[in-house]
Amino acid sequence: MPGEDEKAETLTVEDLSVHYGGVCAVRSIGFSVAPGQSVGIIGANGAGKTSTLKALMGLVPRSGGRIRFGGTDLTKVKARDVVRHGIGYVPEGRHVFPGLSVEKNLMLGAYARSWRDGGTGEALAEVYDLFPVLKEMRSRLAGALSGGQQQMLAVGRALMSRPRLILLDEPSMGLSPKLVEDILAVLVRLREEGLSLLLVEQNAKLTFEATSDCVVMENGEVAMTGTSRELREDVQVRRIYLGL
Amino acid sequence: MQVFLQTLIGGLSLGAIYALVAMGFSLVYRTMGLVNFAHADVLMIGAYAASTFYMSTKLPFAVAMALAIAVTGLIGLVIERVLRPLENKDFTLMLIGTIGFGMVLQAVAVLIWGATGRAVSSPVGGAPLEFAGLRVRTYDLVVLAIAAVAVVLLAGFLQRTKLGAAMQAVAMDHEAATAVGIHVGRSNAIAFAIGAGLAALAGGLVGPLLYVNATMGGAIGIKGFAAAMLGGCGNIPGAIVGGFAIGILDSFAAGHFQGYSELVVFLVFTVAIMIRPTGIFGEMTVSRA
Repeated sequence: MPGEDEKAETLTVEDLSVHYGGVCAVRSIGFSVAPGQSVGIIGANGAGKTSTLKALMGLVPRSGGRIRFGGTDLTKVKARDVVRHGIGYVPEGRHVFPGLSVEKNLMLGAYARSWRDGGTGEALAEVYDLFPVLKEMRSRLAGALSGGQQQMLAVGRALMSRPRLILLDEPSMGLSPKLVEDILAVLVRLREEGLSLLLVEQNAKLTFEATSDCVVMENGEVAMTGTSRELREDVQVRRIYLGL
Repeated sequence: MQVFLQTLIGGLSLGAIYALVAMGFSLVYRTMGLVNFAHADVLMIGAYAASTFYMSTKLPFAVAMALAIAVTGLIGLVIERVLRPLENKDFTLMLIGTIGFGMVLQAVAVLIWGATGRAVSSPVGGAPLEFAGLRVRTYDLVVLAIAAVAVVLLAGFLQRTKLGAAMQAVAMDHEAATAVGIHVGRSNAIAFAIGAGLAALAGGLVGPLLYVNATMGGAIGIKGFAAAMLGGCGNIPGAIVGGFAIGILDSFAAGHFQGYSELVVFLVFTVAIMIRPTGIFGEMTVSRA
């Protein structure tokens, strides 16, 4: 679901660091996501993957570095305005609004756009087309959905802002293998529609299948980069992240 | 039976006022996870402002109320704005800050209106209405009607508008709300302003029922707070039920225990909250990291 204007917008991250108090969670990392490209970040628990995404969104303070998206410098942009630059965010653990209906959750995804303009209705129809189950459950409270449905809702909510780049944090977390397959199918479809993806995952197998390029993070630093195909065959990656 | 029903009716108008106070507490609590301890004193300022506009400036009661709501809404905005830098730093200090604002408001009230207090005449006169041997004061009906309109407007705002939905989203998950582009600080400010407006409405309405003075907030505020807790803090329908429960309890306690009525009300409240700590409609509350 690409935005109306398909400007060539590359996300470029240079020297990005994140500190919590005195603790360094992310140390001078750099990578880029070209338009239509799908990039994965894999790594163990605590490697700094989530902090990286949150720093991109401005949800945690960035203690150094530069973030650019197309012609815009996002480094100083406030968290609530990042979505207005065409970046959608699917947080770790889904974080849907539990006490609101599915449809209202989706409508809030378009909060940065106008509430009732034609575009919202159109975006809503597209999300329902992508996730028919959400249409069935539209008036149900989001908190009453299953984990898999909540994940679909979190992705749908991010799509409602009509992003050109979507950041996904552990979409497979806590889901059954069958649902992980469903998530993969959704990611592949979004990729085919020309959306840029940045996927953070502990599930390396899913990540290699959903993305073209990958970054491996260890202890807050970039340990390896390469195409997903190369990394999947790398002996060390196979041993540590695929358990082979 | 006659006495029972008459006592019940006697508790309704104060119950509606406690419900308004409780709604203000709950709205701010559910949005920010903060108990606004200045709420009761904002109510007192609202009561003074409404009575001044009504009796000294001789404006119609409805206009006086609207002005009082506007004035206290502004006070709510100021309180939120001053305390905002503390929100992500030290929540306890923010809580204490609201207590400080309460003291300031009391002092300001004494400076402006003096320490003696004033009685407010009822905007609707006339003899009480009689239905089947039960007497109802016309002003009680006015209070109930205005409170009902306020509830409907607030519910409509929260359910049907973009801003209302955004405020609910902030209450449920402020990080996810930020990520979709909602200005959390502004949403908190609006919650504070509406909460203050509800306090002013309660204060303006309670003026003709009780006596207006600088410390009136204490008595009404603590019962409004009890009503919010009894209903389930942060829950709007709970605030309404809790308000009427406390009001009716108040009325019966006053009839049976006279001087000890407050003691009885709070004993019953304490027992109820021990049995059900989350309140009647207890729901998941805001959690903060």
